[in-house]
Amino acid sequence: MLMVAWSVVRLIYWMLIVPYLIGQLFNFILPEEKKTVGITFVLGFLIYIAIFEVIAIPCIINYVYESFTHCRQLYVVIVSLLAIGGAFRFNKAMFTRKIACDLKTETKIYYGIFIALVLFQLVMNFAYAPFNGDDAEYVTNSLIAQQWGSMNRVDPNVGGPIDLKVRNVLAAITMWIAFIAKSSSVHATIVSHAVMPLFVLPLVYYVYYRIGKILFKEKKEILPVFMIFINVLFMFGNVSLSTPATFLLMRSWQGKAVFSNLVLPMIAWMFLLMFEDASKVSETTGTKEKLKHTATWWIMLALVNVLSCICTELGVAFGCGLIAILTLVLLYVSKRWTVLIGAFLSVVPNLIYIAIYFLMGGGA
Amino acid sequence: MFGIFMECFVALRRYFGGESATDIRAYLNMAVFLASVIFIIVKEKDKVKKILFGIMPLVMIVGFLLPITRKIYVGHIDPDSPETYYRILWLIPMYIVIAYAACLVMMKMKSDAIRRAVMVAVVIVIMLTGKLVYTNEFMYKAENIYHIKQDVIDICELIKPAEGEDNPRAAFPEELTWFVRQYDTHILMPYGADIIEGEAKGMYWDPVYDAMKNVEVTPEGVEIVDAKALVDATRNDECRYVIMPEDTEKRKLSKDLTTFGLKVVDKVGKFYVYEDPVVVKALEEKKAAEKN
Repeated sequence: MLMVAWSVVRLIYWMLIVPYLIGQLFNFILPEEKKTVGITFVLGFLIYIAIFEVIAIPCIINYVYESFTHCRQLYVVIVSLLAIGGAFRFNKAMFTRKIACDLKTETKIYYGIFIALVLFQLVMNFAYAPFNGDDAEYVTNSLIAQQWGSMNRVDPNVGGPIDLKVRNVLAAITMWIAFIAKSSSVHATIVSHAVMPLFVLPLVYYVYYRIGKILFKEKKEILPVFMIFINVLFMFGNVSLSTPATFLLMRSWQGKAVFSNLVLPMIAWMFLLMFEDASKVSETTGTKEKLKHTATWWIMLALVNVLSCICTELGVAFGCGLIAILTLVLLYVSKRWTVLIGAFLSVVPNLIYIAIYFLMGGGA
Repeated sequence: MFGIFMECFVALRRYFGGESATDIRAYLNMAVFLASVIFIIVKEKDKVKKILFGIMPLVMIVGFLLPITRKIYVGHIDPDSPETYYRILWLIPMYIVIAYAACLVMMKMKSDAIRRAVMVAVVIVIMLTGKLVYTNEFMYKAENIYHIKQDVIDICELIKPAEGEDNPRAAFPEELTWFVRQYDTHILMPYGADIIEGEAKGMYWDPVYDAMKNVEVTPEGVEIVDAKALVDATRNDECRYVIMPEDTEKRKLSKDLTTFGLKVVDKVGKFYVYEDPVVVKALEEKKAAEKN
């Protein structure tokens, strides 16, 4: 029992506290009004994942044996140093911000329903075990890394050595899950099937909540209703096996699910923030102010793109595609050609990914 | 070109839940989505929101149906899996569009009572046109915290190698194949899930899988697994363990595996776990020869 409790503590540490502290270290890039616990956590999580991708790819390519061990050791050192740095910048005031108490009783009830729906889904994720054939590859790859210390060099289906598959090298989310599993001494299959939904679902709904906050800035009382609709759409979104809802509630630990349900809404969120700022920018003067307003979101968008790369190879093209479309709209709305520079810089991770992909013989 | 357009349309219909052309659910879902889009285009006053949640989704749906988009996708983006074309639809923020349109309708209502009635109506429409994820045919009650079959865990615990022992190869029946190495990667297998439904389906041939799958069917409709062929195959693949389900009225082994020298280690659920002394001896001799 004590061992289980200790594992839970380590899970919380590696999945919540460390990314939060990293966010705390870098949240100086956020505008003052956006320095909330949630956005700081999202920023930290994106940096946390980006660091993993940067360390994991060379390790996977360079080492045949013990690649995961090397990757994990280096990652632990770097993220721990950043987390310590973040601890020194800990801002207690963020936790004591006044939660809106001036809400009407009806609005509070709607918030209650929204939270209850999310909790219901979390409980159902524990109580039900959806079957998905892809787990035989993805989850086993995580477990191989945990049990053998090797990344993508063992055939997950039968065992025995295999050559590297380019798409496995770059889409390293399974290895990040292995890192969490190893660092908390929890079996990688438990982390995938039971822990990841507890992490991914609230994060997805948080992103939708932030989107709703922008959409209903003037009508705050409608926000919980919007979130109830979003929740019901997800729960009843199993009209086919292909919908984001099915992916989220049946295999939230897989890269494709994270991409379709977290990355794409995050891209939309970043652009909504930029659209919001576009009106502010028109009121301010000078290039510095303009840059100050939008640079943060382009940086975060670049980090979101790293997350998309770690999720799935398809994320690279799709992420670029969505950003291209939204940038055109932003260009039309803001009438500032500098958004093209921001958009280009934000997709640099995708371009690097494509370069590595072709250098390693992908697409041949 | 019309053929490719129809392929795109079928992909769209399937995405919305229509396996066949007569499945009304898909058209209902499409109607809900399109009604939301049109409502936003007509009623939304904010230019940005109108573009993002009205015009853009509509343009993307049209783009999805264009044969040229499919050609580009199949030719350059994911040539190995053209069936994943539907994923382009992920780029459309459908849930936001529907939820936002519903909220917009609510905000247009002046009376609180009507607003509440609209809210309930929207939820009912979503529930009626949608399908609850927990009723999915692939959703099972969790048997343990691993979310894999308990029988697999019990079998793996039975056959897992002791400290310093070589990793055993075990032949599992098809229905358990997916879960074995999700529990313990020390257990090797002659064939994996990829041969059944993954990317290697039809790409390689495995004698054990062949022996398990290629059954003789009697006039009464009973499937008979050739025990001799199975044991030959497992011995050839150096499988120390063979796991077989107990005989049923529909599927049987032609002979008990113990008649070929295999020993029953235990019975887990409806599965017999056999150990093959012939393979054990052969592996020991091989190891000794390698040492020498």
